[in-house]
Amino acid sequence: MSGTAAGIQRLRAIRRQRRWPPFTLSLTTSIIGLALLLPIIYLFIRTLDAGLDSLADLLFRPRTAAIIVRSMALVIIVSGGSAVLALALGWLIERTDLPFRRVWSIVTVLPLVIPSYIMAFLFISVFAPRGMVQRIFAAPFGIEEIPSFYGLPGAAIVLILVSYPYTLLTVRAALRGSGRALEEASRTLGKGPWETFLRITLPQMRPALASGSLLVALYTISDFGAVSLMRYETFTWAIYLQYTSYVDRTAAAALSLVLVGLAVVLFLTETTAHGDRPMEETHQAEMGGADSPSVPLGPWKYPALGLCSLVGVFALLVPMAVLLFWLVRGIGAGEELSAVWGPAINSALVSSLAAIAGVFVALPVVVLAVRFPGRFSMLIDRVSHVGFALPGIVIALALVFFGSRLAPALYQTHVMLVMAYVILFLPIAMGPLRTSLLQVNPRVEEAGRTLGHRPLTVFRTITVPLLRPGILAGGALVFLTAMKELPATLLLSPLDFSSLGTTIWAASSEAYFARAALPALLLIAISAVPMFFLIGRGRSQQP
Amino acid sequence: MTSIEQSPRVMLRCAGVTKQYAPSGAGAHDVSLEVTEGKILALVGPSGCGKTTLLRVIAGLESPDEGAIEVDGRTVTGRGVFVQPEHRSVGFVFQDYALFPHMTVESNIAYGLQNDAPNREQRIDELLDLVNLSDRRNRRPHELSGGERQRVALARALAPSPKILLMDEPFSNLDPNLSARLQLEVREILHEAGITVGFVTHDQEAALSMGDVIAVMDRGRIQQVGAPDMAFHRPVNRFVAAFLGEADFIPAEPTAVESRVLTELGEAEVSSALTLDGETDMDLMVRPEDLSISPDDIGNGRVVGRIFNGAFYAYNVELDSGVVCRAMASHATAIEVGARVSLRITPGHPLPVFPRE
Repeated sequence: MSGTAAGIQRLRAIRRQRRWPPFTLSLTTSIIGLALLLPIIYLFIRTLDAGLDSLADLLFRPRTAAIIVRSMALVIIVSGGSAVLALALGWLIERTDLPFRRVWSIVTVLPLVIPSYIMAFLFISVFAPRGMVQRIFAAPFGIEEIPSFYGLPGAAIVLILVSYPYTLLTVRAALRGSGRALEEASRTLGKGPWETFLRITLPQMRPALASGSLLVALYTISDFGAVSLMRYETFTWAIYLQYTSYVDRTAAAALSLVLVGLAVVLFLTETTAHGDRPMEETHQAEMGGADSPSVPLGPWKYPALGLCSLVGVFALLVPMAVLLFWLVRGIGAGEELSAVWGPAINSALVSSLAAIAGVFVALPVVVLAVRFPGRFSMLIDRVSHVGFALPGIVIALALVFFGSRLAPALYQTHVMLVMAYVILFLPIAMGPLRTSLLQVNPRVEEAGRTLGHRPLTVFRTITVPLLRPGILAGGALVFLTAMKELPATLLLSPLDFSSLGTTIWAASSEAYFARAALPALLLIAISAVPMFFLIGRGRSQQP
Repeated sequence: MTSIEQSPRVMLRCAGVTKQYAPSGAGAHDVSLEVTEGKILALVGPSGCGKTTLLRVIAGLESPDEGAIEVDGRTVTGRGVFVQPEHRSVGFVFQDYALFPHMTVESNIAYGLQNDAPNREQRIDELLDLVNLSDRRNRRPHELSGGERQRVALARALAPSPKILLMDEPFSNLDPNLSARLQLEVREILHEAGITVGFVTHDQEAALSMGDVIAVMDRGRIQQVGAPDMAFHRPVNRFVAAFLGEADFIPAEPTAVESRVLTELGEAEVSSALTLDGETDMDLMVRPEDLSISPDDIGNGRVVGRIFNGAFYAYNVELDSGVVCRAMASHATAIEVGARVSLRITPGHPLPVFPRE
């Protein structure tokens, strides 16, 4: 009897150590969670409406299997390639005496501003049969055919070049955060730089590599622009073709569900890999000071510089040069330059709205997740990552079904588009916010309470000002990502609405490269603005 | 009527406060104590003994599993009441100070004052003056030294004129020299402000020198509450004895006189109320400063270790029975390790005895 009583008391004690979130916070985040899930749930219902037999018919075709295999092959090659590239560049920039490190630290992140479809159209215009390379370098020697660039190789190279900065950013943050004390300890224990890297640095980078690779993998299966221009039929392109070419949209919906399944598998793989990582959630003080000596590269300096230059050339220099080439050529051919203003304003407007809305929605979710850990907050946190796991085309399709049936007033309006962006990019807004909040000492908030202020006042006067870097970075990231977004914009735009992205895609899929050049340059310029926040932040954190 | 007026006002009362974090038992268990107006209570114990938990429960930053807390006669926790921290009038100085990094010293201090408080400016000046930081008012926390940050935290907590002030390990982030100087300074500031204080420390010297009352905690329970000198000289158990200073325990036999015992170091007067029934084995607690040591070729022990600490030599002496005792002697006489010595209890004040464990 007393044993049971003691047991109950112990259980109570365990439960008590979790603090319950305030009611308003629970309510707000519950509503957010529901709103995020509703369209997807509706997509399920809508698909199942078609009947299980016809669904099974659609799903067990060889074509579906081929799509799965193609998608997975692309995911593995791109995330693997990005991880290797990111690790090498990250380590060189953060830990060695590589010359011009500051320059490389900016250059290597810049490809982030180039959307996959722009990169793809530039590569096609350069490397494809009858592209620039063939005409300029091969034709004079009588070579009529160069190896085809379309399909898997083209899609993989383009996607690695535009997505490796995601892994690079997480790896560099982890390298900075973990400090050099452990590596110095390893060196004093008689291990050389290479062994230290393998046994100390690399294991510490595992969580960063895992989360960076997840970003890249999800980017890859969600990518629509590069695979459609490279004519590599993965899920996203197949869904789009189904959606646009047939009146019956059930097939598109069914393929979407398979894609959802694939994304969820990826997502779960990564979160289970997260299971035991003591280094992540704890907020670590920066160890190791500015004067910590870097690893001297010696003669290795030259290959290292070569690698950085190669990346710089292919991810940045070639694209920009080719863009300018097409721009000049377009002007010569009499392209209307002023046609770009409408789409530019449209893009900037909806992206700004998405950034503001995204941060507002992300704030309560992040506060819940960081300050009130528990089962409920974990659930909401997972739900808020739905956009992270689900490709844009799926969410767009879900919103199409949801909007056309249940919210016709919103269907094909800016509101719907911004909603799609918020669902899609909420996790992107949450990342920097969470990092910022983890750095805000909870004692500081408690101090505000003991000085006589209510929780909301403390939040407004203490927490929010301290979160400013996170809010700016989160908003900037959402803006940047929304500017580039293509599939959801294609599916959800109001009828006469075209963004920079849709303009570029439409022009380049018909090989009007000159017409795509100006909007592409503009898009890159606009999305470079928020990059200043990111790089500025990175720089101020650098020792 | 007069007796009520004379009895000091109880500003903080904890009754049976229990807060368990995990089944392992970390936390506070059934803690009851009182602090009267203007007094400084020092809660001292090894790390993990539950003292910080207790402080957070008093401030309302945690809710206890059981028990009640009164601040100036008003129940703030327990009996179905839970007053939010912002309504308790309890100031808190955090271990890491928790200064608002985005605000100046002045704004930090002003944070707890009402915007429309009539003499707000004057109050800020007063506080800056009190902690001697008037020339730092426009600095940000990261531009201040550790000691200055600590004083800002103190001024900020004092600003709203709380009924009691709680301080969590206020000196642990400072280097020892600064810490010792600040202890005196802070004690003066607190007494000048006339405020009732509860502070937590793992450093028994800080507790003894700063506290008007000292409460020794171990494994979540209060072991002893009392004046510092009482706790030091009359510890209620071995834990308190050993925690508050250096203490050795040597076997003791009853003598014909009830209040005296016989030990290897001679006879000693006993302070404990414990009756020596002659059946339970007893140990006498001796502190190094209670012993006198002198070279003696016959003697009763041998020096096995010597540490020079400036004003004194501290000796480890192995008695002939094998018991090792610590003793101190002025640096005028240095006894070599290995030398025979005679070790005696300095007659003067009574010493406590404890049942042997």
